Amino acid sequence: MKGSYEFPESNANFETSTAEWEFVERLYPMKYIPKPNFEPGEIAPSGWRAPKAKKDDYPYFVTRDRSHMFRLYRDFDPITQILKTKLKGIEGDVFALGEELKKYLLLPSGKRMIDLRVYEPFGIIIIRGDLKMLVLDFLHEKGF
Amino acid sequence: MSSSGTRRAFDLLSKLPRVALDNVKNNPDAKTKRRTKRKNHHNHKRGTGKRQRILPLGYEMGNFPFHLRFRSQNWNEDVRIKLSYCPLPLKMLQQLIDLGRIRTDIPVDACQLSQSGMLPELCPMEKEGGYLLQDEGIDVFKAEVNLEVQWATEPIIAAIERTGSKYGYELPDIKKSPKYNLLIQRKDPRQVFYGLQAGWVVSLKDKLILKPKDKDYRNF
Repeated sequence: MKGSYEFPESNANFETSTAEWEFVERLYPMKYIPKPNFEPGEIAPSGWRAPKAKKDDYPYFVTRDRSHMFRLYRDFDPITQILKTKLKGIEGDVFALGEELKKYLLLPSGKRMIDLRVYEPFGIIIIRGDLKMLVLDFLHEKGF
Repeated sequence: MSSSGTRRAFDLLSKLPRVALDNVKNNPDAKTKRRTKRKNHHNHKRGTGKRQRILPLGYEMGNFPFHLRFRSQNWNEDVRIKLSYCPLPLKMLQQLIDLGRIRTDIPVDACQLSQSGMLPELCPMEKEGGYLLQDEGIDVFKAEVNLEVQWATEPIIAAIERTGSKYGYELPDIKKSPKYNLLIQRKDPRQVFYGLQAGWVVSLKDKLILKPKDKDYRNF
């Protein structure tokens, strides 16, 4: 079979095959991001946790992105050299989450002041410093 | 009762022109002054430096000045040639496998990693040579994969072998592993894609592979 193309006779010196098609199919990216097959609250070997909190458990809710990960980032501005931790995707009473997070963060660091700012219209909390792992622990504890 | 001083000042004000850019004095240090010679000794000797002249900055009395000796140092001449590798922590690899973004039933190489959507795609034009395995998550790595990366260090290779994935030399019980067919797959060093040779044309529409039969093509 030659497929649906027309070839001039001078170029027609080839053979066709479908035997190796599975190797071509491997190179296609996935059409949909697969849903992770875990029970709520289950911990995967890499440390990833499946969400178990329901929307009414707390006055706020922290959503995950389409890759099923928290929208938690370290932001470093090379000009001002300021390192910030950003938590995005917060719904509900963002201020309440800010208060609880501030209390949680004060304990292990022993600092007297945490520069934590709540940006309620965007559902974002920005903390000055690299506290990403602590915030991640907090989110894991809550079960989001 | 205004004093003569104030009356004089007002008189002046009424006669002087308006304040404008051309009659306002500069702020202190706004303009730098030219370097001038402070003393004017009248020497009777000849030669550069002995006349009443200000010599150029950096002049070393006849030596080629230090700041002009090294015209080009080429610190970055090979940055364009050297390959860079995209970092891939083992923890990230484990996470991708947990979340199902990477298949473990086929060998995982640079093609599969780029395609997962969670790692930067490699751009050969930017001289990116491949992926570099990092040791973050070396204790939690559990997946059994046939992994091909472009750079890895000994402890990382050991961590992968520990889970049952194969490396280089023959392990004693590899032939008994149920994943033998998977783990044994290798690519020729010049091959980019498993199972496909250079020179073949792939028709996605008809799901066909066209292989040229011309001998010269095949030899090349």
